[in-house]
Amino acid sequence: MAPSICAICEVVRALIIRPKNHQKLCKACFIAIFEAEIHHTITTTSLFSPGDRIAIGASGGKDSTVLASVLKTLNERHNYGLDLVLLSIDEGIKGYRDDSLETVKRNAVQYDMPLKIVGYDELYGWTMDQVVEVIGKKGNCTYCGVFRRQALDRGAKMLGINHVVTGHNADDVAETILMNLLRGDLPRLARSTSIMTGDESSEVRRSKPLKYAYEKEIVLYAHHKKLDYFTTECLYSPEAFRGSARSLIKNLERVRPSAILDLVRSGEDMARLVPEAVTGISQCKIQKVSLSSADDEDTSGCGTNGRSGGGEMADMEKKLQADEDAVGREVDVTAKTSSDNDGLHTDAVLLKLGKKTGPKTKMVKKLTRQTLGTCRVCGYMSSQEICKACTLLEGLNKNRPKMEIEIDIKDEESSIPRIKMEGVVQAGG
Amino acid sequence: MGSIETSAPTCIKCKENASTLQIRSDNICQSCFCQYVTTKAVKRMETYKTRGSTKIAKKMLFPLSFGSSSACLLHILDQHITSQYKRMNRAAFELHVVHVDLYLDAVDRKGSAELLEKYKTRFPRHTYSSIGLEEALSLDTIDWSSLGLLYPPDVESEKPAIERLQHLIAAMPSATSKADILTTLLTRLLVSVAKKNDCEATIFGDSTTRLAEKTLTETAKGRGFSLPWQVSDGISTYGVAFNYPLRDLLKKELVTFSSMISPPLTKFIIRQEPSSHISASSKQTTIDDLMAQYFESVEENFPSIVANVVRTTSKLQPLTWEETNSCGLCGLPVSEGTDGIFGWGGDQNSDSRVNREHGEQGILCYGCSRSVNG
Amino acid sequence: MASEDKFNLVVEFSGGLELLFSGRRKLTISVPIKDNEGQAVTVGWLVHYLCNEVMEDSRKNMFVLDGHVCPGILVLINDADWELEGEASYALQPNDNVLFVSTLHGG
Repeated sequence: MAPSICAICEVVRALIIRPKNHQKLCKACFIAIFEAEIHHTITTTSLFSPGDRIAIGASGGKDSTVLASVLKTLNERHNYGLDLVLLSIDEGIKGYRDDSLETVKRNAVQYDMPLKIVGYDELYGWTMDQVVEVIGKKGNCTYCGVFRRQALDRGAKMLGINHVVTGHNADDVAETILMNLLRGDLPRLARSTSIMTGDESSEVRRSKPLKYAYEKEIVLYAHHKKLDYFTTECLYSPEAFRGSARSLIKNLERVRPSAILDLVRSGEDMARLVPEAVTGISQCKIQKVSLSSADDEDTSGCGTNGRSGGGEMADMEKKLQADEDAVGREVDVTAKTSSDNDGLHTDAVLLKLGKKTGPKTKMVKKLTRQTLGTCRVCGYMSSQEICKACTLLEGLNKNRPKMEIEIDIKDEESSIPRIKMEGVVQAGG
Repeated sequence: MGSIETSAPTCIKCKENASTLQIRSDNICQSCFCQYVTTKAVKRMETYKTRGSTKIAKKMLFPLSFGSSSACLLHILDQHITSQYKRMNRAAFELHVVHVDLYLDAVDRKGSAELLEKYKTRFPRHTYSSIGLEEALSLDTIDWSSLGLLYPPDVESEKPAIERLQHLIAAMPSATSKADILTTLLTRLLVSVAKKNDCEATIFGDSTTRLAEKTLTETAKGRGFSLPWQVSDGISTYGVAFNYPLRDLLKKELVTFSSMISPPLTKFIIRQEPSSHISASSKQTTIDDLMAQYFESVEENFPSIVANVVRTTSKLQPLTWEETNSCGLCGLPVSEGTDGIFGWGGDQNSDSRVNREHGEQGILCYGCSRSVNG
Repeated sequence: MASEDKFNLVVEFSGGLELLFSGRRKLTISVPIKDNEGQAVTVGWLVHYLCNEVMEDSRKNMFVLDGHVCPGILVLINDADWELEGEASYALQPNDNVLFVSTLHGG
């Protein structure tokens, strides 16, 4: 095949086809335009101010590595005046985080940034290994998600930083949008597309500078700049909403590359269409303000059971069917939301009575507005009286005496070897 | 009859007949099944009340695609209207059935004309008409200049309309774009036909499954903002109400229904190919195909999830309709400050505005811009 | 008429794909100049060879689906996107470097 020439500089041979729009580019031009686009996002959304201290949520994976690298580059090139710090969370899963933490340590040297590692045991008194001992492997992802979400914010607070950036990319956002449509979760849908959550009044703000960057481009960028990152095995079960949405996204991307950005655009527009009564937030603030309740942003697999959420769709199906049966088959239900499956989230439930011929009457649930407050126990910002982490910890701590005994006996005989095996080889199918 | 023990459970509704089918997970007999389907559709129709005297039959446009859903709906409504006449000597509404020919080949058009005749014979009560999609090219509601094409299809009217339509479609950058433009033209044409025939509403045969597909397809094409107008019952932005009385029924339930009524409708329906052959790697695959394939499998195992998607989406409130810019092609409102894709945060290139040399031109919404310009 | 001539290729896996190949990120393999039908070996041939002869993991469908490389996997031939080289029909050359990188994993 005759070599193609870069569409931008028109001089050098093209090595890259941009996943976003199939433009043919040389290495240098691709790197330049990728960086320029992130710069555009940062400046048009006024993400940063000079003098800001920013904590980069670093997992050692491709997204956070690229994020750190690009932010460093842009900070210097365009004089953002930012003070950048790498922030990493150690869940206390033996054999899993070790590699990614080593990678983050290397990144800190490579990018000349300070690094702070915060452990779950430091924050909560429990490592994930210990949690799994008590909870087992079903439902522990819930714990990990809640803990991780707060860990990042708490870690930032410990450093006196109130702005955290994460490597969420366009694919992540698009997936979340599809997922929330499939789950019928309007409040989450309304929040999932904002580039920044929280505002001056919240303790810690989070933003996603890579929001419009394609995952494939992030990989290409990392490859061509020879960035150091670590990949963990994380398999989303196809029976979970996210796994289902993920494979649909990949197919969509193949059929029409712009679909990922188009989904993000749709999500942004739809967020404005979600009725105020459902979100409890006034429309004009919806793009900026969000609650820091445990969101599904951090459900990236943690290796312990990358297949968690399996049966999530089946569970929801059962629940919806049960709801339908309760109403009776002849009823015209005109509006109904479903409450969240794993009980983590209080959705506003809005019901309208339609014509009914069934014997049971429908309960009209009150709208629960979500308001910001602080946790009674730990003081962390929460919409509940006791924040989710403290609630979970309460349950865990009740089991602790029993668990301590078991640990003495079992000690190293925990689920760790199983994790490693699952991650690498599927023995015997 | 021997007392052979059958394992067929009894119908959960009438508690008499053996059940051969299932609705969701309930066992049901054939006649209760048919009643279930019919009742759902008729109940929905009753919710489409409009102002004005109830003595005058409301005129409704009924697009007939020859697919199983619209065929079933026509059967159900025909029965319903007939029984109303029997009881009260009048009916609440009358139907104007229209078939829009998407075929461009004369041979195919002949075939579809013959099929339409069959429908006329079976359901003679209603008005019937047929129209070719190329008629959309003469619509004055479309601002062809907004497409920025070198040869807009409304110019060069010496060429036959069908040829100009083919030319237009061929100019689209991808299979998805082609399908998208066709759908938009179809919708606008239907609105025009509805208005010309004094129909106050258009009745579509879309099932829950189809509406869920539509929701995700339009979202994936960047038209999330338009969802309230595309899947909800009620007034559309075109001044004609769009209603979907089959919105509570699954596609597979309608397919079953079509074979259960007597005489069966199967010969009246043009079957769609099974979606198992759809591959994301093919250049012919569209987003619509992917979603159809996706929901076919979700419908199989998780039908309530399908229904929930549609229920949730219809809760979205449309933006207040102001007389601001509307898309030159699909007619839906365009966000202020943007022109197609330009001006959006995800458009990270400040120089991407399409160069407009011809002075005043209409603008496109995000979705149409994506389709036309890629 | 069997060709005994072989040449070397470097095949690399990244982004998690190495887990399907027993953790190996880089392989030097020796391939015949012509395949069973006497045609020059292509990248398409290489993909199937890797899937059938080299991969020990049973999860073949994470690498190849419906005869095509999975949608989330990028293929680079000598650092260039394989689409620029003719995709699966690119004829392999001695000492070519073929990189398969999965884009699907978290970070």
